[in-house]
Amino acid sequence: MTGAAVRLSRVSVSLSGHPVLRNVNFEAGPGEFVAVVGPSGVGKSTLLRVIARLIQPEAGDVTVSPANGGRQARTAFVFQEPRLLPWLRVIDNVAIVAPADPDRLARARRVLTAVGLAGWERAWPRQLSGGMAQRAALARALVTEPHVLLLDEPFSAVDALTRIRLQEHVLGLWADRGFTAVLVTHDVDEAVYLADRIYILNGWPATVAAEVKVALPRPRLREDPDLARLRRDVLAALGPLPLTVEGSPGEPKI
Amino acid sequence: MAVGDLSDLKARGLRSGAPGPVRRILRAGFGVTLPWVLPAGLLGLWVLSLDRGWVRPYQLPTPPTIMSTFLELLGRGELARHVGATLNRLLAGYALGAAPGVLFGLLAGTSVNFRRFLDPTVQGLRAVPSLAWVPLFLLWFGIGEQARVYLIALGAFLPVYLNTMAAVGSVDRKLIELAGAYGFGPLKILFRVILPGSMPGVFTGLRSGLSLAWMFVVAAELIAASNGLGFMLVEGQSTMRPDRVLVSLLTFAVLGRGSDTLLAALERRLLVWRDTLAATQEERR
Amino acid sequence: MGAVSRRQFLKFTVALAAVEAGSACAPAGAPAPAPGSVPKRLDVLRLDYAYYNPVSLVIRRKGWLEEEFGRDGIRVEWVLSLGSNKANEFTASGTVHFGSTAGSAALLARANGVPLKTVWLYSQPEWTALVTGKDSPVRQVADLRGRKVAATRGTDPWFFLLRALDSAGLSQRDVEIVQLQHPDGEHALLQGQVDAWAGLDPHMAHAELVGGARLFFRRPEWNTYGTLNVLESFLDQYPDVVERVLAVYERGRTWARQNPEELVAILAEESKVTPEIARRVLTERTAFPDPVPGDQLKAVLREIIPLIQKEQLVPAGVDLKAAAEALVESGPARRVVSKSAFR
Repeated sequence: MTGAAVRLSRVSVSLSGHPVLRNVNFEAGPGEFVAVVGPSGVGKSTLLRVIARLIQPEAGDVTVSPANGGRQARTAFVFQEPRLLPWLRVIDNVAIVAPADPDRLARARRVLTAVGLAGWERAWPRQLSGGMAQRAALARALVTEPHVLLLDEPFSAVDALTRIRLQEHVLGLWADRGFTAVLVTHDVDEAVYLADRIYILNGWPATVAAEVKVALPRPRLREDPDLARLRRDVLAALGPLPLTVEGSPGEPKI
Repeated sequence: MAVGDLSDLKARGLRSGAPGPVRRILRAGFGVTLPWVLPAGLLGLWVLSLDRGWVRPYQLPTPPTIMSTFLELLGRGELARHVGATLNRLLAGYALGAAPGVLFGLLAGTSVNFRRFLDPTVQGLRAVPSLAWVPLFLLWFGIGEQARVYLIALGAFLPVYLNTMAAVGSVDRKLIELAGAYGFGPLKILFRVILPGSMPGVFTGLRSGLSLAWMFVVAAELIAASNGLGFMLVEGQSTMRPDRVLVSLLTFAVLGRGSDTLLAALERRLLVWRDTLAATQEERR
Repeated sequence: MGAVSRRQFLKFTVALAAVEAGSACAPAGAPAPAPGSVPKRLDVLRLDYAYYNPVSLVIRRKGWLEEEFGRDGIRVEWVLSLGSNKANEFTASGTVHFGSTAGSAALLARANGVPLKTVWLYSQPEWTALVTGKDSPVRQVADLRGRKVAATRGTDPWFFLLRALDSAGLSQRDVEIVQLQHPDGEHALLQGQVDAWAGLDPHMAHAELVGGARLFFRRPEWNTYGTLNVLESFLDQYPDVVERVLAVYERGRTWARQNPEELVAILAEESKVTPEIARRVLTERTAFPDPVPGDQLKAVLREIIPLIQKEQLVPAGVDLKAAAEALVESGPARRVVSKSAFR
């Protein structure tokens, strides 16, 4: 499975009549790991939903083209909460998004093993911890063998230790499968640790304030001073405090 | 503090670990007897009031009289006949009312236009007190079974419809967005997300509809019936047999409770995935 | 549809449903006090009145009881009984002190443990018969097998029906008896919802004259009298009140015999039928004989004892003969009649 190229050119989005994104240019190459950071509420999740075709832009183009040819690129979304269907067991939650072929359960089982949930297939979602549920959501995203994996602040709802474990999981799966990853996060440390490139969104309506390349080899060390330097650069690019966006509530954040 | 130091915990008045066997037996005994305390008290009050002459036996018969009448009716097969007639009506009416209730509730919950079409009328019907329907139905449909079954169906329909509609409306939006993100078509969303997600509310409606159906069955049998438990009630009243009235009432109570228990058991089985306080309390039982 | 209009039907059935649901066996009104205690002074005297008890309509209309008891500061309240079953309920629960029923219903109540005393016979009526519709194929009792018959359980027409079935070799299991109060039974018959009806006057006469119904089975000799009943405890505590009430009833009886046309008018107005119908009821089918309950009542009651046992209307082992004996109380009536003879 290889990734897809994602390109947004001059994309503008309004929600409930309020302009959220203006003239955004965004690119992610096949197999690249790209992060999007910015102040809370700036529109990062909106950007992700545009790529997922959950929201239509009012201007601009969105293209997602698979690297090895083929017309339709598959995207998979991982939300901030696991959003598992409570009435389905873990394995059924994963299988329900996969195409209906006889192999479906076996594939679900394999991907659950890949995220470290082997043995938990028959559990109910209410029996899982936050981190385990998010891993199941990850498995669900991967069972469709997507070209692009879209992650919307996927680790913000878990504790610090679990967050690190989940980051490593994602990194490992990305290295294995080679999909394009677009990660939205407010955690700059996370962005510089995981991504190849970082887009910084700011302003109201939001535009791309800056683009930072993270040209560090992998595996990276979290204590690497180069990472700290990059972190400062990103924060600087975000501009002066306050690091939140003024403005009317508009569409409630889903 | 050393983790393994239980004597320290005891000294602080904290219980250590799982309860011992004596405690367990006491707790289990308590749980079993608790539901019986109130009925036992009422029974005692009953016997006392007859003994003291606060009520007369021809107004309220003694428990042994009720028992012997009950056995007599059972032995003659008369009780079975009446129970059968009532259950028949109840089930027919309940099915006739609950099925459209779920269907229309789903439609009204998912389609704004359908809701605008149907809901105002249903809300109007809801305002009519239940007993007022009885003479009206008898007038329209005569005194036969039809009137009774339709009446019960009406009683069952309303809460099922209302609860289903509300349940659909309260399905988590996040899950619907998720389904959309993974390419679920509208039918798949309806059957795999909305329907299962509304099940708890639907069951609330089904149980409430069942208890209303019981109430309507009594009302329907009070007038112009020739069999059934409600008829037995009126018959006993007309022929000065309060013992038959009470047998009828008690049978009603048992059957009503029993049917609700069955429905609740079905609910528990189908909704085993629920993550609520009630569900965890039941788990501990 | 005539006097028994749809509105009346609705009104009665709603009231019926409400009362039925609420009063199944709850004791309303004053409960009987413990034996041996001093009786409280009576504040309110409650009696029933019924369309099948014409004298009750007269004395209520004329206000003679209010006159009699007003001087003692006792209020009089009236409750309408729509049938013997209701009258018995009211008497047993204390809702009324005096209830008007048929003799058969009084016996049934007494046998089932209600301590009633029959103190007066208010009429000797042929007030019931089996009625069927104008175009009905039913000609005789045997034709009723498997059909729907409207009747009010616990009343004289119901007893009459059971006796009729018995005489044709049937029992209540051979027909479907639909429980409806008398006015509703008439309505159901005329609507064609039942094949026959155990009727009661004046509704029965109304069905005849307005609905063209046929009385296909009559037995005047089966009548069990119209009886006025009180609870034993009431008789024990207020024997003087009972006699005074019976004295007023005697006044009403005399008046009724002397003023037949006015009686017709009163019945017609109260039960909302035409004078023609009321006249048929009162002149052809009602008499006001000797009101003292005694051997004549016991004789007709003994006739129905086998029927009561056959249809298992009372618990097994009840001594019906003893109940009939205990029911009839001729003392007060005898005293009242002899006093009025001297006036």
